[in-house]
Amino acid sequence: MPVNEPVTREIMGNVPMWLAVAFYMAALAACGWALLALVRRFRQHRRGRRAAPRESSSWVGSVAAVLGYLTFHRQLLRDRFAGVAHILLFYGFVVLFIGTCLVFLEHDTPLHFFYGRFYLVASLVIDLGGLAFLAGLSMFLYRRLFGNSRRILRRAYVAALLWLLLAIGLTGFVLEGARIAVDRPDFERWSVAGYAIGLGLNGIGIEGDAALRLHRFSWTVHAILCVVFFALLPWGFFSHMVYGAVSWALRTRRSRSTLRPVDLQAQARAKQVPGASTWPQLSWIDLLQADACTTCGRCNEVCPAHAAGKPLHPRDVVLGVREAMDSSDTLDLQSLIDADVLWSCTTCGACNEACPVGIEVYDKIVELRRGTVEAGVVPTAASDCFESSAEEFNPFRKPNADRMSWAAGLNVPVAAEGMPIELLYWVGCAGSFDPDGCSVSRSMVKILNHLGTSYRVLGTRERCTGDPARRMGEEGLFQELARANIVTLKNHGVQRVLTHCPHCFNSFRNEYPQLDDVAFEVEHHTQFLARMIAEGKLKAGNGVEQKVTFHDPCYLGRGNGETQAPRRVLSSLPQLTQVEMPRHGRESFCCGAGGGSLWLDVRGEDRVENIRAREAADTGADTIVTGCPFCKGMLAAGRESLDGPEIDVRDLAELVVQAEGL
Amino acid sequence: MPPTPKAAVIIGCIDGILPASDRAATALAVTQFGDVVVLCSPRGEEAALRYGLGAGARDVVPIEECNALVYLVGRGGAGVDGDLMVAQLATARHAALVLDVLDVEACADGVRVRRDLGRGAREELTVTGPAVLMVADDAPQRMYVSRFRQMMAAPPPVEAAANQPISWGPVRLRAKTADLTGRTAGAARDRMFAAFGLNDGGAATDAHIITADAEVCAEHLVRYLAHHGFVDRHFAAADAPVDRSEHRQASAVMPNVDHTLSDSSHVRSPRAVQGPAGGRHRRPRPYRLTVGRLGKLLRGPRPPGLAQPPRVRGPFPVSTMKVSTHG
Repeated sequence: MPVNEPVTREIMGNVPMWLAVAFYMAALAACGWALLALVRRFRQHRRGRRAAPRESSSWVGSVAAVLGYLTFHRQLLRDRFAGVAHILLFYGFVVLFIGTCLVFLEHDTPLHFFYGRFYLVASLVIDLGGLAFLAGLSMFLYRRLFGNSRRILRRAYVAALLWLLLAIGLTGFVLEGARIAVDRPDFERWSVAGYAIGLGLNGIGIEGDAALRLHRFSWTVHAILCVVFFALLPWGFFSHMVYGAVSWALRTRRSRSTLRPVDLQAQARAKQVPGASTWPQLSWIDLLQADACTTCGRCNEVCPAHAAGKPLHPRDVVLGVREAMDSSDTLDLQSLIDADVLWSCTTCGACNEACPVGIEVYDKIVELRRGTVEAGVVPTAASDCFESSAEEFNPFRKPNADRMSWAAGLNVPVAAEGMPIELLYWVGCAGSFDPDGCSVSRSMVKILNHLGTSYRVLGTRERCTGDPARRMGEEGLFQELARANIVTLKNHGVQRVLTHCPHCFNSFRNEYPQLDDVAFEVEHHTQFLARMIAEGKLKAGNGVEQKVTFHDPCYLGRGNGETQAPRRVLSSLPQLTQVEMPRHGRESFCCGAGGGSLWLDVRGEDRVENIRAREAADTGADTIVTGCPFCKGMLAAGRESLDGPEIDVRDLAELVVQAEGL
Repeated sequence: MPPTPKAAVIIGCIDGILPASDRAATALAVTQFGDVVVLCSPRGEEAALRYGLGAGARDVVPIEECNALVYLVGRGGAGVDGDLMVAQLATARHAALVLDVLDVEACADGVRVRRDLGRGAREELTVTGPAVLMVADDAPQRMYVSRFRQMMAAPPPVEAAANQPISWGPVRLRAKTADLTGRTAGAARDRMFAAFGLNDGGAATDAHIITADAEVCAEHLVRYLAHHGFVDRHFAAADAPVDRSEHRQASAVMPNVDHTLSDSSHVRSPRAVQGPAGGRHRRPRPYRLTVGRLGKLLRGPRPPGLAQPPRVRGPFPVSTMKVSTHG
């Protein structure tokens, strides 16, 4: 390299040839080793089952999604401290990596550009990148050492990797400072950090030959640490740099509450049993996602079962799958993930929403549940629920003949067989058999009759949509019920389905189309009411003098993105004051009924519904309003645990009935 | 020649629904007897057979062709005949009959059975030899058979057509059918008492009630106990001028009994005691109950081989391991 240009530096001038050669060989070997390990791991992922068809975009779109995610870090910034730390760490790393590549190109290729103004600007940027890198690392280490965040995985190997990165960053600055300390050229002021370190070294008498020796020593240590970093890339949480990006690129565009489609016929032809008992029975995407886990613990933080002290720790489920991949093919996953862990899940989807690398945590839990169902080992409550759904078409163990008991005294038009139906009001099992749900059904019928809307109900020919069965792992029963319902709806030529249960709403809207072509539109009753108010058909003349807080049902808000329609309805009710709970909208906290938990009830230190009721009471509201019969029942149970003044729990439809004076 | 299946499950639906007892019977058979399980459905209901095959039963055979050591029967499998069906099966197979079974455990001696005595009481029995076990609806559901497994199990065509009457040859019931068909609820003991007319203190139309002096009643009691194998028959008929040549022909030692379907020559049942107005009048055997004989009765039956060879008798005696009363 020509040395007569004044503004530049000698690259590896102080490094003996044998050391440089050794470094290159070691780095190549480490990179090769890491690449081989990654390829081997990807091959292991491919041993998983074929993944269900995903609604992802083209590869260009996927790459763009990853780049956009990494550029803006929106998902990560939900936790502001960790998000800022990661931004600093990430951009610092990228800048340092680019800087290293520039040095390599200058030293080992015919290219010659590392001099003059370019050199000055590059020096400044690289130094700032290094400072950002160290700042981000310091924030993470500070939180690990002195913070009280409970979601941190306090394992020695995780801390060791952070210290390794810190050592790489520090030795990089030391060797730069030592280089500058040799003769301290004036233009090196652009290397702000290195120049400051050089000044400091000169201040303690390290200059000339001593600085050269320090430079060689720190260069050697820095090189060794970098080689170790390359070699460890496929393991620990370093691997999220590779798998996390792939996982994000492949993440599904399904709504949060929608499970993946399952082709039972194809599995039967392939002599496969639904669900997973061993890791090769999971899909390859599940296996890849298990390796993408950064162990950040955000899933644990948002999990309602975890908050209630139940055995479920979503992160441990993902890490359990990862651990199983490192073990035998035939290892029973239940030896790593206990049955109580699986049955604690409420399938609220908060973990999926919170995961920064797009891991579908609760999908894995449902897949493992399917495995236990196929193995025949299920809790008695679950098998009772299945048998009831199969025999009486509802999970409440009530006779199907009583399905219309809720409608006593009301004028409810029941469709005759084969009658064309434009608008079908789907009552649902909770609306038919659960007292809290029945009052919602009655309210909706009053509203529909008041509006003069032409609608029908199916009466006793209505069957459970299969949502509880599917969430509890009985995929076959779900598909049986779903196909029967689809046939019924087709026979009636149903054009629109109106339901007040978000679980039924999610099933009709997102999961039935996985099984067959469906031609009907689906509307939740909060959306219907909002539309009727917007169209002026509902006037809400009576004031509702209450202070309310709206509890977003998981399958409506986070699951299907509908958070505004209920609030528009509440805003239109006169004299009503609305306050929000800290966790609302897409970040709503579950009521505890989903995923079959209404029946399964794995005990914890607290109860999910009690936690939510306390959160609602802390807002000072005197009424909790919701848009789900399950949520209504659970919150009504949860308010019994409160000490303060009685808080009412009502459905949005009941408030509208009151406001309309029906 | 295929091996004799250890266990068979008789399964069926009631109004299209598989009762809990049939599911429990299937689960007990599969979990205790492994894959040596065959399935019978008297009415050939596909849904029931799919459930059984999905649970892991090996094969489907008609009941007449089934030759198992243990039969587990649910309420659906028994059908409208109820306890009559299992009683007929037990008689035909020379098997012990146990009703209201809650749990079964295969052991070296045979099967250990836990049954419901009613009002929270339970009893544990060990049955050696053939057994017909009627499973209670309350039996815990040990296994769940998913819809997928049921859908994938294709029941083979059963040769015996559905709804054909069960024909097991000449069988004389030892219990009144009128009491059984209408009263399948309640504990096994209650049903047994009802069958023998012992519940209501002696109805006028109940021809099984014997009204006599203490000595005659004691003679009938001893004969009853001997008939069911609780005491040795030898003690019951020591002075009776009865031709026992037919009994000496029985040579099989319990429990190694050839329980072939057609051979029912040594099936015994009490004759109906009828009034002088009609039917055959039967007098009790002239047995004198002495103090010495009473003492021998209390000591228990003589071990086989020491005196006359023990007679073949069915059903096989059950030894009560433990009687536990709960609640």
